[in-house]
Formats: sequence, structure tokens, C-alpha cells
Amino acid sequence: MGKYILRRLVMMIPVLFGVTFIVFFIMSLTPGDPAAIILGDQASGEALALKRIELGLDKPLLVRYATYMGNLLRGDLGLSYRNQIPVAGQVWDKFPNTAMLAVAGIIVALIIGIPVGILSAKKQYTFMDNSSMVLSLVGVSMPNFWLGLLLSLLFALKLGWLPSQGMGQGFFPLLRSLVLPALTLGTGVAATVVRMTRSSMLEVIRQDYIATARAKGITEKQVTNKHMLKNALIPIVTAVGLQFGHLLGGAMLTETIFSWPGLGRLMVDSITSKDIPMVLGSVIFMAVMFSFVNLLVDILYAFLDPRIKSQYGGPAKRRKGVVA
Amino acid sequence: MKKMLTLLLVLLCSTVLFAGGATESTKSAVTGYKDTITIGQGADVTSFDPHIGKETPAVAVTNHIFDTLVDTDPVTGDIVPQIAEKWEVVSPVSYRFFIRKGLTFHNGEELKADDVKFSLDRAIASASVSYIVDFIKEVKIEDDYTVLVTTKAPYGPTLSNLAVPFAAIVPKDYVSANPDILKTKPIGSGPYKFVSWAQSDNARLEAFDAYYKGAPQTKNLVVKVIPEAAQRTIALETGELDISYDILVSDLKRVKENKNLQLFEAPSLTCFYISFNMRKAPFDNQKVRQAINMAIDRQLLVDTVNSGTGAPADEIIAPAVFGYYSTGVWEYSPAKAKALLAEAGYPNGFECTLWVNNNQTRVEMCQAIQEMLREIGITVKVEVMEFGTFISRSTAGEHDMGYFGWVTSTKDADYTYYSLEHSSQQGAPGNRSFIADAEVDRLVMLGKTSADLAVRVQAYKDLALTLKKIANNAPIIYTAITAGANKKVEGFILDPIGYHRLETVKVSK
Repeated sequence: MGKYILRRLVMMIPVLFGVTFIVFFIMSLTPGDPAAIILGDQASGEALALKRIELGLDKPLLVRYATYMGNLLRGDLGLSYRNQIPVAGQVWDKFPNTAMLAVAGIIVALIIGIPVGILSAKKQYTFMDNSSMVLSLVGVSMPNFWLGLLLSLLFALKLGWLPSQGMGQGFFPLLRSLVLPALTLGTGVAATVVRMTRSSMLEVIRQDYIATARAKGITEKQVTNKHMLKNALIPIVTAVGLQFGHLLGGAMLTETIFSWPGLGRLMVDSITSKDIPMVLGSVIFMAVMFSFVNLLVDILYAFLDPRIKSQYGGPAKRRKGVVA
Repeated sequence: MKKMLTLLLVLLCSTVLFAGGATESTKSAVTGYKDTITIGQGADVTSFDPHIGKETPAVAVTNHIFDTLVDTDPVTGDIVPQIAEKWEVVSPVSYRFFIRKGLTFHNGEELKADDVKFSLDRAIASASVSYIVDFIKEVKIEDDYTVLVTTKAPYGPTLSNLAVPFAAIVPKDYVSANPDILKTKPIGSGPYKFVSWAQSDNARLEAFDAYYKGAPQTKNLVVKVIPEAAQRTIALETGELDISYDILVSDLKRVKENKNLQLFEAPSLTCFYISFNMRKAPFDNQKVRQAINMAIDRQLLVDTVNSGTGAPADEIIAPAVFGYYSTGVWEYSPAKAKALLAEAGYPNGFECTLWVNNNQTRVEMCQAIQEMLREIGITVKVEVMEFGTFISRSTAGEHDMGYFGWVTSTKDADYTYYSLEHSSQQGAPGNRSFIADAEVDRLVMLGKTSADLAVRVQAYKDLALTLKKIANNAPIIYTAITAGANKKVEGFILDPIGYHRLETVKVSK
């Protein structure tokens, strides 16, 4: 298992190189001069030239990339073009906010998604199943910016229960301000989880061991929780893990609508101002997060399914057994 | 156990829902006014360093932390004393400023002449803001409270430029010790002290009790970043914000009709205009340029594309700018425009391009103009490009017509006329119609170099009339600047440039 984790960690290095290479060249080759964007259309030619030198944009692209990578290997993500503040600090500052929102969003998704998915599967083709499928389709299709505004209008403006935007200071204000963005974010993910849970459960429900479990006379609740759900969890965990990885990279729309100071907004602001070091820094951070979450999901498989665990460490033990 | 859990959950939910209400009610205290003003704006502060962060959202905050030698009165537009209690024009190229005695920065250090010299030299060296102060040749310290500013040449708008927030005075010792410190920990001598900055979220300021005009009316100032304009309006309606800047055009009616809110609206200092590339045919023909000017129904553009906000433009400088002279909006007459085109030798019109950067409203404006020009036989292809490309290619003079926006950020006509109309400023500095006219140059320089207000006013009047005839640009609209506020807000004055000062604002409970 340890070797497996180490191998996966080493595999992240080429992934990160690939990510920096692609993003650096896309950002650099797309039209637009960061100096002109920073200084605006009223800057003089001289000021623009000075700014380009200050940003190192007067050097050839490959030299800039090599310099960037050299600094990156020393852990230096550079300075933001826009505000001249170190990128790493800014990304790191935003990460807890994004992580908080991502966790809350996933909790909402799981609370809604798994029970509804299970019920749908167990009551297949009933009114309940059909309506939950329609609702989950609506949930997946509903754009976040629209749902977010509707929720704000209802809960903040009409009912006055929750703040419309921003991140509250202190425990309860923070919790209150988290509700609407988490609901907005969680609804879309919940819809995916419902559909994934349902289809996965349906596959398990038809297995012989479920009939056996029922024949043993154990309660339906035990059959559902211990025999069906646990065996149906692998695809659900994969889907949730992927979604969580995405959310950790910042939910750009939700963060923008609710003025949530997270990575997603940082990224949007940086892209619009062609702040290449900031975009690169955020993307590298997101790639690392995504790879870590994927790794965690893979490790989680081992705990959910002993057969997978045996693939990591099992065979060696068995061989030992034979020798003995 | 399950019941207990359910009960706990219900309790937690109700606490979360109602906790805020409790804190709100405990806020009300002894006086009749709130101790905090909460403002909402669309973007974050880029840099708290006033010689770097020049975007409106940055200046809207830093303007309260830093003062300048002189200030512009937001209502009258007059130059009024600030750090300098008085000044004298020693010669056409030198101004002597007398600094108030006893002025202190927020860290308690006294503001003296060496801080002024350091700050202006620093602004001149900054790539971001030097264009505002690069007319200065030298800043000489005469004594602790007197500085002599010498300009490179006679420069009429000296005082207006020194009133621009980018010419802010910063503490020399504090900044010398760490040149980057102002980016995140600004210290100035303005009415509010910096408290904290949560990037992308909010900036908090606190009243500076030792301010020379007396402490501001409200103790705390919180500027929240709410990029989504619709959310800013909702937050204004729910009372989370006291004032919200830049109300979405589609929300203006909602704010106006809400009995708890008030709407502030005024023409901004921004003009949108089309520049004709006079180096290219047929735009080298004056009649063609005049015909296009007459074919554009500006009022219709204001009423439709701009949903009734803003005003038709007759000049490339806005009415609130010193030196504005109304030449009257071009008459909309497709028939006369067609006749002019025929006289110019294009009875059947021609084909050309109109360039615009990828901004939704600007593109819509160009599409509407495209249709108007089609009526007089001109087939226009609207080409949308990314901002940097748009600027660099139009600088090189590759365009036929370009749709540009320009803010007269010094509130003085020279800033715009010199950049957009003087023959030495072709290309990057702003003259993208590539006009090179001796009379225009003479009038621009007369306005620029004279320290006599009457001479300047006359020069700009003559210039406006001359430019109308030449028609190298087609001024289209002046945008509006808006802010929504709770009815309880008192003392708010809308500044046409967007740097609204809040030290006089208070909010009743």
C-alpha cells in the first residue's frame, strides 16, 4: 500500500509539469498584453514598455518558462502581475474558504443524494422514483448562477432568514452565510449523486447475495445498509471524489454570485486581468488538490472493498503463506 | 437517541437562522447613528499603494486613507486646499505649496515637505500613474513646510493633476524602510485609517480622529466586494449594505421604486466615441466623417442599448470636466448624411470595419450603430477583439473605425484633448484618429500651457468648435454613474469620477 501511494505521488510530478506547460503557453500565446491590461488604455507607450520589462515580458517565451519552472522548483510561485503580492500566499489564504464551501456543498449533496438515490432504487418505477429522477435532471441542468440568485431572493430578500452574500465573521454568522452557497453548490452535485446511487444500487439489488441475505431473515434495513449500500458505494465514492476534487479547485460561479472569497473567484479575476503567475499558481494548486483527492478516493476503495485491498498488499502475503 | 439528535439538529438550524437577527439588534446603541457604514462595490482593491492601484475600486478605498496636496470639490469642481493649506503661482513653471503645520500620518509621524517630495518623485517613477505627474520637472524642499514644484513647461492643469488621488502623499520613512509595505499595510494622512483587508472579501477602515478637518462622521467603514451586480442590489434591499456602487441598469427601476432606498445618478467623466482613422480612405474625407456623425441617433442608443441611462455626447470630454463647451449633439438626419456622402463621392456608400473590444455593452452599441449606418448605405463589419489586441492594433493604425472609451480622470480638458487630439500623441498615447492639424495643436497647447483660467476656457471653446467641424471622432454617449443607498444614509455626494468620499456620510438607525 505504501509503495502504491509513493508511486502515485511520484506520478504527480509529470502531471504538474504538463499542467504548467499547457497553462503557461496557452496564457502566453492568447492575444492580449498583460501590461496594457494592467495599465489601461490611457497609459503611455513608455509606461507600457517599462511595465513589460518589470513583468519580464520582454524576454523570449521559453526563457520565461524556464525561469518560472526554476522558481517553482524552489517553491516560489512568483508575484501576481496585478497587485505585486506573492501568489503562494494569496492562493493559500483562499484555500480554507474554498475547502469549507466544498465540504459544505458535498455534505448537502450527500444528505440529499444518497437517501433519495436509495429510495429511488428500492421503489423503482414508482411515482417517487420518477419524480426524483425528474428533479435530479432539473438539478443537474439548473445553472448555478440562476439557482443562487433565486435562493438569495427567497431566503435573503423575501424571508430575511439568511445573508444574501459574503462570508460571515464568527461561528454562527459564518454558518449562516455558508447555507445558501452550499445549497447552490450541493444541489447540482446532489443530482449526480442521486442518479449514481440509484443505478449502482439497482445493480446490487439484483445480486444473489441480497436474496441470500433476505433469506437469512435479517431486517430490510440491515440488508439495505450493510449488504446493498456498502457494495454499491464504490461508484458513488468515485463520483463524489471527482466532484469534491472539482469543488476544491473553486466553484467559480457560486463563489462569484455569493461573493465568497475563494480560489474560484481568484481564478476568474486573474484570468480576466491576464495575471499569468496567479492563474498558473491557482491551476498548479488545483491540480495538486485534485490528484490528492483522487489518491484518497483510491485508498478509500481499499477500505470499502477488501478485494481491492488485496490487490495492493494481499498477493505478497499469500505467497508468504505458501512458502510457509 | 435519534429523537435527541433530531432535536439538536433543529436547535442548531434555528440558531443559525436567527443568530444574525440577534446580533443586528444588539448593534443599536446610544447615538442615533450607526457606527459602521457598509459599502458594496463590484471589484476588489488591486493595490493599496496609491501609486500603483489606480482602478476605481482601489481608489474608492485608498482615497480615504491618503490625501493629496490639493483636492477637487466634488460639487463645484473647484480646486480646494488639502495637505497644502495655500499655494502661489511663482511663475508659469513653478508653484509654491505651503503645507499645513501639525498634520500627521496615521502612525503619528508629522507630514513634512520631505514626505511631499518623496511622494511626488515616487509617483513620477511609477509606471502605473506617472502620466498624471510627469509634467513635473523637480520638487524642491524650501523648508519643512514649503515645497516648490517646477514643471517642465508651462502647464495649466498643474493643480487639477496634483488633486488626482494618484498624486497621494505617503510617509517617507515608513515607505523607505519597506517599499512594498503600502500594498498591504497602507498608512496615509486621510480621514480613515487602514484596519484590515480580506482579499476578494472586504476592506475595513477606521476613523482617524486626528484628521485635520476633524474625525469623520462614522467610525467604521467596511467596503465589501460583491462582483455580481444583482446581488449588490439584493444586499442593498435586505439592508446588508448601506450604499451600493454601480447599480445594474436593469436594477435602477427597482431601486427607484423601493421606498426604503434612494438612487444617486449623474453623468460620469467617461465618454464613448468612435475614432475615424484619418490616414485611411474614405475617412480622410471630412464629409464622410460628418455624414457618419449625422447618421447616428445617439438618443436612441441611450434609450435602448443603455436602458435610458447616460446622455448623448457632443464632445469627447464630459460636462463635468473643466473646459467643456457644449457644441450641441449632432443632428440625427439620415437624409442629410446621405447627401453629404454623395458630395464626398460615395453616393452608394462603402464597406468598412468598426473595431471594438469584447465588452458586451460596447459590442451591442456597435451593432446598433452598424444598423444605423446601413441606412445611409455604409456596410459596417463589427470586429470584436480582446482588449490588448484591440489597443495594440489600433495603436498601429490598422483600424478603419474604433469604438473607444475615455475617462478624463483629472477633470481637466487638457488630459483628454492633449492625448486624443494633439499630433504628437498619435497611436499609443491616445490619438487614434491620427489627427494632425496645426490649429488644433495650437489650441491644445494654449489650453495646456496657460495658467490663466479665462484664456484656457476660451481655448477649449474654440477647440471644441474646431473639432466639431473636423469631426475626427464621433462622440456617442456619456455614461452615467450610479449608486443606490438606504434612505437612512445622509451626506452622500456622488463624485462623477467614482471616487466617492465618505467622511461626511452618516447612517441613522
